[in-house]
Amino acid sequence: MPQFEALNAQVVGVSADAPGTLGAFAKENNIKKQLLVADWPRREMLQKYDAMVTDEKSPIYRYAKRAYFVLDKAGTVKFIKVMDTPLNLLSADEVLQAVKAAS
Amino acid sequence: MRRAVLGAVVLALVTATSARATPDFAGFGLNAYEPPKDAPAFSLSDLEGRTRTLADQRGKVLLIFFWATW
Repeated sequence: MPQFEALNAQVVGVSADAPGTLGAFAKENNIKKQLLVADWPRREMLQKYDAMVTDEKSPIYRYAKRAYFVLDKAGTVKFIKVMDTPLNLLSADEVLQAVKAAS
Repeated sequence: MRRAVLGAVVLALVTATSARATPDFAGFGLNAYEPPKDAPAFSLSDLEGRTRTLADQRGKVLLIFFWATW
């Protein structure tokens, strides 16, 4: 996280969990950075960003896909990555490179 | 003939300029988003109940990651 702060970049995590669940998770894991609740229960933001699982057969139906969006200072989307499965992660270095390129 | 040559030169210059303007993102895990598009506005609550908007973040590069406790 200090690398992102050094670039004057803001990091925001958006979850489709219920507020109580998210709060408990943050407390348990001592997460103090910006975590936002995706307008529970409508989850409009997930739909706007096409980051919601819409397959009714999926066990995580209407939950968030794991997805990354990098916006420049004007709020323009510069990079996007939606993972095929929430089990996949980008490395911090990959994300950092994109943030640097958007700076 | 001159017009054709001039056209070819202009095309080459435009192509070269575009190539320079677009970094090589092949090594990135993230995909460059083309054409650039304004991010959809949002207004969400943080864990303290404060409202956070996209507009609040203007002036800073912003990484938004979507996730869940799944």
